[in-house]
Amino acid sequence: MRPVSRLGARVVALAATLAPLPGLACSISLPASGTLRNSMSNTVLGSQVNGNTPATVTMVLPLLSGVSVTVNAPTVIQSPPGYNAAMETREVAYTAAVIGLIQLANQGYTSAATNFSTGLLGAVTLTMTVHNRVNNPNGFAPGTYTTRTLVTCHP
Amino acid sequence: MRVLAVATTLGLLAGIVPASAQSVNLDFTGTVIPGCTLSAGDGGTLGLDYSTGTTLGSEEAGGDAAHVTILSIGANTLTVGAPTRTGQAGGYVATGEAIEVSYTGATGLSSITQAYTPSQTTNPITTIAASVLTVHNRITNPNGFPNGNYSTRTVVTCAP
Repeated sequence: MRPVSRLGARVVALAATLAPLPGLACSISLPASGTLRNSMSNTVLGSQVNGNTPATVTMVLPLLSGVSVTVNAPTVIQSPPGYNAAMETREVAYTAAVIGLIQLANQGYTSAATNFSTGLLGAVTLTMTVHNRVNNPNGFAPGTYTTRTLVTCHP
Repeated sequence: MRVLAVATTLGLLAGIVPASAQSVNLDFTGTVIPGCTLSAGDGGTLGLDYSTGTTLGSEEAGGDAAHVTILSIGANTLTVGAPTRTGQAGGYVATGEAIEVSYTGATGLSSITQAYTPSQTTNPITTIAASVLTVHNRITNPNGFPNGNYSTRTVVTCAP
């Protein structure tokens, strides 16, 4: 049997070193829900209306590879009877930072899906702060509303 | 080639393979409380109809309407009371006078219009964004109006 070369041995050693470390997937943890409140004019329902109650999520980025994070436009998944959604618009805004220090993204309110890349950061914690708001010139009928924003990290 | 093959094999064994996307749903929840609020707007101004001298009202020359902003969440009743005279010039003879109110709404209250009436009126309203109600008052009096200051008052209420 032919012996493995010196270069081959180094590659083998590197692969072995990597074995116990995170793979190429990013992991999402600690999602925390946000809270919505209506404006004095009752035309905006949002997490930055009369206060600041965002949702947050933490991601651990994979080693040796950056990821792309997609933030979908929010949807209204719960609204009370009598609510007239005909003229509503839904928006999301967010910031993303590494260890709360290095800001990677700062997206103002948008009704479209957006994404950003983390670059080749590896094995670091990325924290996202996400806001939702719903605008409706018809106002919001009394009751409970829930919006949902899907956040996805792609290896 | 063998080196790459070994490395690839070890990499696969180590689990270093392209992974699928990871997703999370972030939810936001809030509750809107029913109620109705009135924001005091500007008071009106009464002007005299100098062609007859028998009408003093906010739609006459020099007059101006009063405005109130109404925000309703859920089912409420908007009540516009009968107007009253709260001030008059000395020597004013009230016999035969009629005090009336009319109003019209905008935006969420655009379906509400009331012609001049001396009576209280009510209107059911539902959820609307903050909307303005424009209110007029007038006094008609065949005896005329001695010079001096006059004032009227209309009480607007909103309640479940």
